[in-house]
Formats: sequence, structure tokens, C-alpha cells
Amino acid sequence: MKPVWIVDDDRSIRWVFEKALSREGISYNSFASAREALDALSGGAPQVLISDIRMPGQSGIELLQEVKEKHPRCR
Amino acid sequence: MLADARKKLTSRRPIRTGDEKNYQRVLDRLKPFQDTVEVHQKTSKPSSASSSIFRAEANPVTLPAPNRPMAAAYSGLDLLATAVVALDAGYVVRYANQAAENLLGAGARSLIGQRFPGLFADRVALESMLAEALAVHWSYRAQTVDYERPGMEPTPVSCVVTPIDVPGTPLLVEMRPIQEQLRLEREERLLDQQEATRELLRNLAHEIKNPLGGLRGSAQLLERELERADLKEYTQVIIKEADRLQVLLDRLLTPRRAVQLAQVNIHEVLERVRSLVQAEFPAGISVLRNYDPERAGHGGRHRAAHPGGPERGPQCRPGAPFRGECRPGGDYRPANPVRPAGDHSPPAPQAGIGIASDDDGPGVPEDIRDRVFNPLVSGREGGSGIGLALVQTYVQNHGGVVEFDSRPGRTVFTLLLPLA
Repeated sequence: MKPVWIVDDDRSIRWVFEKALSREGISYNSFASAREALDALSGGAPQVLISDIRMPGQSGIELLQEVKEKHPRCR
Repeated sequence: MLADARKKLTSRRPIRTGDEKNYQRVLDRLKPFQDTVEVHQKTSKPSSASSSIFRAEANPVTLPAPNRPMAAAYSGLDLLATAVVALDAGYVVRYANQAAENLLGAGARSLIGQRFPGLFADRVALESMLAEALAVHWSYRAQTVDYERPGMEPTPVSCVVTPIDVPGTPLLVEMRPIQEQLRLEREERLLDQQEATRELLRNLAHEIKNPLGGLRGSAQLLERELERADLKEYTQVIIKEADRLQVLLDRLLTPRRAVQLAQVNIHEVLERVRSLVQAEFPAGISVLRNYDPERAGHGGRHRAAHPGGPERGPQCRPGAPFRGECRPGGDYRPANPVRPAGDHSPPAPQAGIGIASDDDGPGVPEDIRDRVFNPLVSGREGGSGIGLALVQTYVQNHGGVVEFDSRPGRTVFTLLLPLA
């Protein structure tokens, strides 16, 4: 199963998601910005992407649009 | 210099529509007077066809003639919509046109003979302006002064002084009431401040939401780890308080949502508000309704300025009546009309409806009246200060205005909404 991606510039939010996913045994990747996530996209798409909307640089909406273009099956 | 003074007076931007015509009518009316002047002034140079009363300044011996009443000499100025008074060298009023009588609320007979600066609150500043204008012979200066009348509020007036070479009355003062202009400027300034405050709060609310999410999430994770049920009480407190803050922040962020216009019967909206108010105050409040029957069933294209619950409940004494009214807003004026720069005229009226609520509570405290629509400002114990800010935002989004008149025992909030 592909990992869940967490994209949020707030460390505490990422931490909560990481803990919750770990508890359920779900693999994940954490990113502090949309740019970091987009850079990692060439290495493979996530199963699920959880992203903040308002972030420095690219917004979560812009990130989702790019991910959808490249990986239409990603939710 | 005379030509300059006349040019400046006659070419000045009209104060309101119609003044151009009035100026021309003044000039026309003064032509016969000019002829009279020239008959008496045999040695004077021939004047041009466009000569006016100010042309006579070149012939100081003839205007005004000692036996000529001042009112007759200046009678043409009675046609002006602008208030004008002529002063002598001691700043005593020697002539006041009809517009000046109206503005100052006094007849010419009582005005003539009074020292002009003595009519105003800031007489020293006005006197110094008159002295300077007379001394340096500058064409005109403008200053805002408060006109005082016993038992009445001071009226702000803008004065323009024009030195003229007329013996006996070397100063001509034009006055314009600027109360409405000052009110509009103040309202615009307040709206700008409120918008800036709201933007700040929106940003702040968003920034608080993030750590709050972390806080709540951590409490939830912690709760799952706890084996003793009594310890979960602590995490529940954290979660509930975080939720309470979340609701508050969501309400602060709500006005950013785009307005979706739809057909609505305003009476249905008001009835819904009434039922909510009565549910909130089950005992001891009566609601009196006064709806305009012509508006019954009217489908205005406006969403109710009321998203869910009563944002500002009435603040009545227990058992006292609370009155709600819906009436045609015949004199509705848009809140933020598009006007050319520098144009402070009142916006044109358009068809609208007025919704007024009238309660007999303690009223809006004096010290927060200018800020009462700002978020987080409340005069009520336990009030969140969100309600009126939301009301104003929703009403403005619909192109309307919300205003209030409050004193202890009677507070009326009025929503004026344009009809589609």
C-alpha cells in the first residue's frame, strides 16, 4: 500500500497525524510545504494526500491540482 | 488684482448643481447696476460687457453709494444657493444674502451689525484669518469653524474669504455647511478601520486554528492511551475548550464566504428571527411586530442577513416589549457608493426596505459607540462581540447599511437593504 502524505507547515499538526497513522500501522510521509511534496512526487504518488490549504509558497489547493494532473487516481 | 478676484470668484467650482446658472444670473442681474455706476462715474474707463459688481471695485467712489442701501447693492447675491456675507473692515456684517440667513438661522436684520467672528466658536482663529486675508489681499482662504447658536449643537461651516476693493465692505465671505461631508468622512474612516480590524482578526483566527488543531488532536491521542476513565475527564476538558475556541474562530472567519443571492420573503426571515428570539428568552419578553403589508410576499433577491441564530438579541427589561418593524426604505442610500474623488455629496437614493428593531434595554455604552461594529467589542456582560460585526458584514455584502440610535431605555437598530 502506498503511504499517506501529510503536508502542513505546522509541526504540531503533522505530529498529530503521524502519531494517529502510526497507531493504525499506516505508513506515511510528512512534508512541511507544497514544494517539498511536489519534489517527492517524481518518486511515486501517495495513496491519500492530507494537506493544509493556507501555507507559505504554494497553497494546498494548488498542490492538489498539480497532484491530480499527474496522478488522477490519487484521492 | 480685481480681475483676478472676480475670476476666482466666478470660476470657482460650483458648490452644488445649479450654481453655475445662479452665478450667471447674478452677473446678468448686476448689469443694470453697472450701468448706473458708470453714469455716476464719468471719469471712469469704459467697462467691458461682462463687468459685474466686482468691476466696480475699480471705481471705489461709486460703489456702494453712501445713500444706496447695502442690500440693494448686493441684491444679486440673493440668487445664489451659497451663503454669502459682506463684512466691513471691523468684520461687522453689512450684508447677508438669503442663503446666509437660512444657514445661520437668523434674519439679515439681526445679522447686520454683528461682528462676524463672534458668531463662531473659534472666533480668534477666524478673526486672524480675516485679518490676514485683508492685510495680504489674498483672494480667498478656507477654514472650518463651528457656528454657534444658543441651545443648539454647533454647526461646522467652511468659510471662504475673498477680499474685494469695495469701500465699506472689503471682505466677502462664502459659507458652506459641511456637517454632511464631515459625517460621510467619519463614516468612511470608521468603515476603513473596521475592515482593517476584521482583516487582522481573520488572519489571527487562521493562525490560531493551526495550533488549536494540534492541541485537540494531541488530547484525542492522549485520551486513547489513558486506561483510567477518570483521567479522561481531563482530556475531555481540553477537547471541549478547543472546540469552543474553534466555533469562535469559525464565526470570525465566516464573513469571507461569498454572498449567494437568492429570492427570499423578508417577512419569513423576520418571523424566523422572532421565533429564535422568543426561544432564547422564553419568559418575560414580548415582541411587537409592525410589518408593511405591501412587503408581504415580496421576494427580494437577498439572503437574510442572519446566518443562523440571532447575532444580536434584544436587550430589554424582563417583561418589556421589543418592537420589530419592516417598512419601505424610501430614502435608502447605498453604504459605499462609487463617487469621484473629492465628491462628498450624499449618495443618490435608491429603492430599499428598512428593518428596524427597537428595544428598551440599557443602550450601547457611550465609550464603545464608535467601535460597536468592530469584532470582539461588546457592551454586554458575557457578550462575544461577534454579533454586530457579523450583522454589519452581511448587510454590507448585500449593499446595505446598518445604523443605530441608542440612549438608555431606547435603542433602535435599522437595517437598510436595497431591493433587487
